[in-house]
Amino acid sequence: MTKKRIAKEHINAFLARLLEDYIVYAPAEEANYVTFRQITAPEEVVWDCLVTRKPPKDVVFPQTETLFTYTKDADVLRLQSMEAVEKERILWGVRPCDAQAMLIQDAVFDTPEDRDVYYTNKREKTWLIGIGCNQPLSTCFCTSVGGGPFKKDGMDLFLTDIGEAYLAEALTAKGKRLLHGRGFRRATKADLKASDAAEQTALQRLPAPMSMDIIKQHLDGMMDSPFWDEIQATCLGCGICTLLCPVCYCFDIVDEGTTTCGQRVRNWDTCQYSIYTLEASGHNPRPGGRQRVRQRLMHKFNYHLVNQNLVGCVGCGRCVQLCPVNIDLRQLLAEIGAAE
Amino acid sequence: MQELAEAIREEGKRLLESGEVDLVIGFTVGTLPLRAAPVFVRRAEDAEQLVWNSFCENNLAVYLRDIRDKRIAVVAKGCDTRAIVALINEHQLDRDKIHIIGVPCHGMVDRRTVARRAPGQVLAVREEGEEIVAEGESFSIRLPRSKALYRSCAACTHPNPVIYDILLGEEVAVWAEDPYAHVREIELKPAAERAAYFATEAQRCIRCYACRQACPMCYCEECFVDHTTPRWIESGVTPAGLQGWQIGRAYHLTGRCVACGACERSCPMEIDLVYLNGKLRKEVWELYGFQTGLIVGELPPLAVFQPDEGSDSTP
Ligand code: SF4
Ligand code: SF4
Ligand code: SF4
Ligand code: SF4
Ligand code: SF4
Repeated sequence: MTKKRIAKEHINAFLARLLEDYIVYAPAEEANYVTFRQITAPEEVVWDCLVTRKPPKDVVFPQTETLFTYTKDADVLRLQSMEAVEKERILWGVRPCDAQAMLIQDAVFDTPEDRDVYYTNKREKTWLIGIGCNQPLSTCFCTSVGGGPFKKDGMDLFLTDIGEAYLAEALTAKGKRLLHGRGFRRATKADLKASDAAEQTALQRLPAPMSMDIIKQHLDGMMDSPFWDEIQATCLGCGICTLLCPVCYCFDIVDEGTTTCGQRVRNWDTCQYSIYTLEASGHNPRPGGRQRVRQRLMHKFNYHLVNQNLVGCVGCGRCVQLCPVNIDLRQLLAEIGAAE
Repeated sequence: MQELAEAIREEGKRLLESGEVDLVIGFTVGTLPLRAAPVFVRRAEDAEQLVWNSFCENNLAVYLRDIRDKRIAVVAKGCDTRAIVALINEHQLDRDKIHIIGVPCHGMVDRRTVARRAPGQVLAVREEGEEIVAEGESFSIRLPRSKALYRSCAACTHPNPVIYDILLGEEVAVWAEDPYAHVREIELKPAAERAAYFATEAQRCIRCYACRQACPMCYCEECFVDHTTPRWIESGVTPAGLQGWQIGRAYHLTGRCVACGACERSCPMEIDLVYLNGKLRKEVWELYGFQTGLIVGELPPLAVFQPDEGSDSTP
């Protein structure tokens, strides 16, 4: 589709125009780190952060979301759904892995049989302006899971840093509509070449891809493996590797309120918590850490392939960076791949 | 540091070879620069994996309570031993089943501080005397260790193990001048500012409970936040839910927190938990002159009462 160039000095003006019409989320500072959050001025964008502390998933799938509220007055019960979404949103500077994660979530929340309106209503009003990763981090492994630092799947518009300028490529009709106005020029042959070169350099920085097929096959036979005992020995059973994973989409629904008013809320949940599978009877089908660490790996690298034909991981490395006891998913996958 | 690591390996190997213990819990080399990883060593030949450096940041006492059927040796710095003492005092650990390999600690280096000071991604790190050298593709920076310590380490009152079966290496001199400096700094602010500080810190929390899971003293079979009938606090990341969680956990640790900072180190949102728990630690110190986990047999003040003490209703 259409490719244009925009000099770096004009990019903030472009973003400022978008800020007039959209709610914009972008990598921006919060406390001591960079996270994906709403911004109100172009200057807030942190351009050189690849892996934000929080992924952008909460824009369409908030950690805590009121589904409906209720009031009961005398004997009249009133329900008010919170599903409507007014304003359109733009995710600015999304990386290919995080965009891929949204496509995976689409496949879960928006199927031919079931549409989760709370998700789809937001998703339909969310546009992705992505950016390629010229310098992948040492913890990135997107090419192992079918992605890549310049993969444009899911993007409406995609920016490539080519030095003095960005090459801007529209990938959808929406992207094409966004791609005009002051600052945009026709892309030259040299621009396209610079973009290809950036992509090649980036690819070389990434580790050699692992085979997800082999990992899936090996996992088929690992239900009873002692491998899980080794991981669970040091795993703390916290929520970091799943709550901050851009792909993880588990949630729990809770009613909060009194007999006269209240709300139904849904919150992120994670298979790493013991109460995730705790049944009302008190029985817990996944009673220990062994079953829980196994579930995380099995779901992402086995069941997900069976159910969605997609790996449940996009290789962003957040779990690798943030695990408090340095349990490194890449190492686990390498060991699973090498297992007999 | 290298000699200390070697001594740990030797002791681990000896303990496993002689059959004195079934398991040695220590640290091994991390997969990332600035990291070491907790490791369970079960065979004498695997004791080679053990390391000791400025990144052994986790409190290994967190693992001890769950292992009931094995004799365990644990590599323990000052704060790890304080947690062990506190757990013994709360009848959670059997002193006889634990072999404590005490290691005097020089303070652990905050991986986030180093990463923030570096102009790019840190790809390698090493310690040269009292300096941390961090290197990336086109830079090499040096930081004095003392400027890169975890907040809790900078304020540490007991870097030397308070209890051990064997002590490896030389005891160190205490470096902290005022263990409550950070708490005092915030206490000096006007009430509205303090409230705002607490609220904004809490609001970044994602309820991942890593702080709780990393804490050796948070061992309840059912944490109050996991209790659903009734629910004590709002379930979501609302101000009420988050502040309720933060206050509830801090209160439960009053007189029990051993100041190891494991909570803050594990927190992915870098929330100032050292302040929150430190504030209550300071109260306990000022009211009762008590520091947790120093003496076996000394009960935490909130676990004892005197038959003739007053009550709220009878002033
Ligand atoms: S599993 Fe880890 S690396 Fe994979 S997408 Fe989730 S956080 Fe990223
Ligand atoms: S890994 Fe766990 S938390 Fe993540 S989607 Fe799968 S079951 Fe849910
Ligand atoms: S982040 Fe690490 S410690 Fe926490 S559940 Fe995941 S693997 Fe376990
Ligand atoms: S926060 Fe309180 S209830 Fe929860 S585990 Fe810790 S001490 Fe127990
Ligand atoms: S570790 Fe941090 S983000 Fe996680 S629950 Fe504790 S305070 Fe909240």
